Amino acid sequence: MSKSIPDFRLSIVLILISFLIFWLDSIHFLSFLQKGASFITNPISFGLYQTNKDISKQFEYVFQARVASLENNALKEQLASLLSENAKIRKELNETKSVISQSMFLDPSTYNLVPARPIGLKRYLKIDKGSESGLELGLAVVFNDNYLGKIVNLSERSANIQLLSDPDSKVAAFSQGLESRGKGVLIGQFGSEMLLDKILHEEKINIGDLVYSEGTEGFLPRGLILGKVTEVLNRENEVFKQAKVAPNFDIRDLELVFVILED
Amino acid sequence: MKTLIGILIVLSFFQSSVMPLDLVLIVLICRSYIRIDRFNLYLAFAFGLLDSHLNLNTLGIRSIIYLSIVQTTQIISKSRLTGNPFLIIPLSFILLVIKELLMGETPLPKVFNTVLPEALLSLPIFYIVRLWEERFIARKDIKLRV
Repeated sequence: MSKSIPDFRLSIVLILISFLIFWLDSIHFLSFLQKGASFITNPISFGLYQTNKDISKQFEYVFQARVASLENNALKEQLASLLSENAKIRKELNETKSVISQSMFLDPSTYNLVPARPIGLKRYLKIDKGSESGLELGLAVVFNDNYLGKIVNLSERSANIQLLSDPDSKVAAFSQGLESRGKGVLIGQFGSEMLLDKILHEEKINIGDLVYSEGTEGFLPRGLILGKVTEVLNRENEVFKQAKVAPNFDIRDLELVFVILED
Repeated sequence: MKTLIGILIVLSFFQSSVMPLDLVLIVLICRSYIRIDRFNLYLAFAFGLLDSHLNLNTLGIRSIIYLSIVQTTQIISKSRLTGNPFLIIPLSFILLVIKELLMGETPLPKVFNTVLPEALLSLPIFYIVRLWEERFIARKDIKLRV
């Protein structure tokens, strides 16, 4: 037995001593020794515990920073997606508002209106509807009860609108105020202003009068607003009076315009 | 030897306050597996007492368990099978499970979760201890012939 087990005697002695210590400690005989030892071991254990806690905190901070960075990226993507969705909804809302507003001014049962989005503005205003949608050359384009211009160029899916301010634009018009009324021809000028020409001297016209369409061209209904008189040019040596007319709104603010189709 | 004692003291404090792994016992099992030496028994006895004190167990209980485990390992290490170093993993696993069951501190379903990492850790510790014992410990019985 003792040959097959190495250090048999020593191990038996040590186990017996361990049992003796175990018994002595069970009856609290060694508690004073343990108390004494605790004065040495406790500070070391506490120091190790605190160090471990501090190191763990540092690692936790790094880990949390990494998680926060990932979350931040995910939230940024989500935010971009939401902003894009929000912009799309706002655009659709504005377009819907424009359609509702338009139906209040020109009765859809009388006028066959086709909504179109402005997609460019140079000399002409470009819209995203063309011959595929039933558009033709010379059709009037309006917004609410304001006349914007007429179609001068056409492709399958886009069209160019000659605005009132275009130098080639000429529309029969009349001005209407509280005590004034004058007839003339509204001619486009370079820039955004227009000139109401061929007004007789005996006709009254004042600053602030609204200018309306006569509707003699055929494609254009009578009574659409063309602009507002900003200045009256009354020269005695001229045969006719003139008045400068400005549009009521900036064309670039429009979300939708409407083309009046011929029945 | 002083280095080994120093490392075991550090490990004792480490396992009692930082990491819930019985690193001291793993080192003792590995050393007993590599080298049959009566010093293993002294280490098992002494560090059993220190661990009992640090873990607030009744003094002597860990000494009895450590001594039994070290002695069992020394007996097994005599067999031919011990040439395979990977045997340390199942051996440590079984001995550590017995230790946990005898101590009765860990609930039975959680014993395997506690012991498995310890058993896996025994292989790298085995290689470290073997490297240390073979390369850095001068043996008295080896003498150069001049």
